Amino acid sequence: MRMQLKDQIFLVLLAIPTLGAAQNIDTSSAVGPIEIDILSSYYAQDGIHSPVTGGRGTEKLSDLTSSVIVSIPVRNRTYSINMGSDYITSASTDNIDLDITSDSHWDTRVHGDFGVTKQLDKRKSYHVGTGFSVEYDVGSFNMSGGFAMESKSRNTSLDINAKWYNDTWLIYEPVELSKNLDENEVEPSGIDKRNSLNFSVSLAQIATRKMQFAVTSELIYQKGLLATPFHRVYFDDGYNADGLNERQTILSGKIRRREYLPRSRFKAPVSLRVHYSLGSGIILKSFYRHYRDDFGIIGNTIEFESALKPNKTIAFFPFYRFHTQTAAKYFAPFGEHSLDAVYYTSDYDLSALQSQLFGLGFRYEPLFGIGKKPGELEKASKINFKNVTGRFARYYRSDGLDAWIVSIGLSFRTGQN
Amino acid sequence: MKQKGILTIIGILGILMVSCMPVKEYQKMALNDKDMKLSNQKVKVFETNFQSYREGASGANGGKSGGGCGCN
Repeated sequence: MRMQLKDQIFLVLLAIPTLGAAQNIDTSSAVGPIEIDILSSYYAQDGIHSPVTGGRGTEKLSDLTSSVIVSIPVRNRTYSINMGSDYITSASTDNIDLDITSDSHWDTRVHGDFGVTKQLDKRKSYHVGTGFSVEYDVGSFNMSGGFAMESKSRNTSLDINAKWYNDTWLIYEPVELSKNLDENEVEPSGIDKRNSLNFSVSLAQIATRKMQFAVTSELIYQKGLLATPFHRVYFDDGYNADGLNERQTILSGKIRRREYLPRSRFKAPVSLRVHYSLGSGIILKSFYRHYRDDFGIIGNTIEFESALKPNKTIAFFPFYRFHTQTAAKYFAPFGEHSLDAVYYTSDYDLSALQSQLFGLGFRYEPLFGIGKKPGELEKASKINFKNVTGRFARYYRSDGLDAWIVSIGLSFRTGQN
Repeated sequence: MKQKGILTIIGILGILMVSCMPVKEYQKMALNDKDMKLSNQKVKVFETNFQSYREGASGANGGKSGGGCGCN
């Protein structure tokens, strides 16, 4: 398995020099201002419906994320690099085995994406890209491509994108169901694959001098392993597990299997985004998405955000999001699946739910950059600190999941050549 | 009932398309504001990602929609 993941990453690195470039990059005055964004976030959640223990138990999890995005314009091409990592601790994933003395399970995910956008003329461009992601049980490789064009008046634009993911999963099963135990520690019992193909079309239109909108339609087809191997599902077998905690339930005689879902899934979200400038430094943004898939989930999401700019240096972004969805036809709570069920999950991410998210963002962006005196020009050879952005959000899900997230971004740019 | 969401988008889209008027470049001062861009701020990507993990519905918002992660 490790050789296969390393082979994938090696192939990605070999492919980078060939992406959209037929000649070496000329780093002379053809290079435009380089943009660098450093992003970081901390996410924490807790809930009572862990899918690892069959839809009951702690969902405590934290995720510290950081990434760096670099954009380098060279003549009529722009090269982009996005590298990042996640450090995840999860109390529920620790319940794959029975070692109650161990700390919460932790995992590190590393990812990178590389792309090139080529401007064909003033109104048309195409891009190609590739990337990878590696965490303890999933390795992924992706390739993407797209085309964008604007009308002559530049009031209408069309964006077409396609992306393919090839994921390789290590199969970690719950300890009592595992076919591969090493001194009571779960080892992978095999590997499986997942392929995902995403195709999206986005049409943006200027409506008036103060309003523009975009419609996006996306089609996603997935084939392969769609269940999570270490999720447990308990069945309606007449065994009363009320009053037992998660470990006691694992050790009990209640019938359980690992989560099992169909090996294909078709998703079709469509969204409408409308932005309106009220004037006096106020912008209203709205977003609506309708979603359906062949697992039976129908979802509707609506978001509102406004940009409030009391002066040219600082901006505030209050926001609110509401989401509602129906349950997947394979979902049932703890102990309610029929023994005859062909497909089954107790993952509350696939249940009927409503969620709310609200919070506040800000941006500090002095006209001449942070740490510069008014009128001091950008130096071509220097990296200039352009702005800092931040967001804080609270998230509530109707089944009791509670989360919060804080994010920060630092933007830099080299001077104009 | 099932088609309400799609019909809502089509209805609003129809109203928006009918109200469109040509806007010349020199009339786009308000539209050229960086906060009028029809895409999310880069710092918002982390929120969009965790929502794709915690909800069965995803996509059409510039975020993850399937593949490349241990997510739905």
